[in-house]
Amino acid sequence: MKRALGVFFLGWSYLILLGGALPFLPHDWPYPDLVLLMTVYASLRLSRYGWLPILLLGILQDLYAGTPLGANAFSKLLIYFLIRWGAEKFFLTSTAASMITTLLAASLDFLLFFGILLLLGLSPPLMEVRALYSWGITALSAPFLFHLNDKLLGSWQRSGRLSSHEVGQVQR
Amino acid sequence: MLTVFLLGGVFLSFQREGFEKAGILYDFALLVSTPPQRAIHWVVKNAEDLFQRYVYLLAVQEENDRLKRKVEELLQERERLKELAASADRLRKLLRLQKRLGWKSVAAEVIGRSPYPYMRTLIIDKGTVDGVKKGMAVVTSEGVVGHVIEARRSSAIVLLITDRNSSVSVLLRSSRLRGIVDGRGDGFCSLKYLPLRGDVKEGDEVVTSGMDGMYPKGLLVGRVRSVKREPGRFFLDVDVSPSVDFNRLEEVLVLLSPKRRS
Repeated sequence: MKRALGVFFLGWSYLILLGGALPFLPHDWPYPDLVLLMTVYASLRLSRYGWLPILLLGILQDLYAGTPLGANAFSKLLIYFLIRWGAEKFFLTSTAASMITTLLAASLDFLLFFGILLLLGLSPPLMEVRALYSWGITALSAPFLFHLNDKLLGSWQRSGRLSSHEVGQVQR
Repeated sequence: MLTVFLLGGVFLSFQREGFEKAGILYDFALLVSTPPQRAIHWVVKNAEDLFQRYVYLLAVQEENDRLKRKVEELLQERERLKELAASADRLRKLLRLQKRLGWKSVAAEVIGRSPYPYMRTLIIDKGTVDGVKKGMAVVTSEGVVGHVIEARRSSAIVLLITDRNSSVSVLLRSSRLRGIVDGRGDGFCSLKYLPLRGDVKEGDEVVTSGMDGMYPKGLLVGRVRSVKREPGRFFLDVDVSPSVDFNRLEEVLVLLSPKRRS
């Protein structure tokens, strides 16, 4: 629980930092989806209560971005459970695997957001080059952010059960 | 003893016959003493110079450090003043716009942007306590920025005109043709519902029509970027480049309500 809270507060800090820094960057530059990165991180590293920070971070992302409330909370939770399901079947904790997982998660997130906006009668985002860049940057950022998270959350108490990451380490 | 005595006599005789004759001795004495004296003088002088220079350099170094600090401070001050001047200039333009529009408005600072890559929104530092409400127009001296989609106590979220969910009722300044500007999501907008035979050309100014009840009439939205006439279609395919440079957006004006005219 403590680690899950740590993930939440860390993700929140990243959101605030990114949102505050973005006005200083060119408007059309792509940037990573940090909540999605935290979603992949939580699904690969946390065993229990991982859904909790993702739900809260999804809601916060909706609040900061002005997206329909619950859109990101729903899509990120779905991605969280999908990756957890995948992590039981495949070895997803290596650097390359985590990047590929993040890339797939980013594309799925886009499709889910697209679908949610369509359902709500709003205009969905365009499938343009910028979106692809965004997926790429999100995937490329994954190993660095996961490493940083591991470092920052290192002092936090680990949850009782072994996480899939730890299971992977034991298997190796 | 006798020799000494004689020598004394010789010296005395030199004295008696005048200084000129004794000059040889002086010359000799000076010739012998000058080089070492010069050497000693050179050494002492240089040592003194060196000491003075050292002391001087110490003082110069201190002064140099002090001046460097001063220069650094002045440069920082200059940058701060330049920033303040630029900010004052932007605010003056906003104030001029505020007076020109005749709307009650509040100036706000852009404090953030959407952390979600697929939304084109801004976060401003004014909220409901400042009178900001959902649906209010947000403009700058360059033109239309967007409208408020969420207003909280001390902040609000602004949907930019370039977002896919944004629509603004507009007209072309020159031909007075009416249309709707929709965001495209890629930094540009589309101008829709202009008749195929409409008089539209690149560079035409697109301004708000005031028909949507959100934006006052006559605010610059952008300029026509390209016009495509495709046969078999009812309307022109027009791209619009927003007049506002979203990369340099720092302060905006939220239009609260039209001022009552007495």
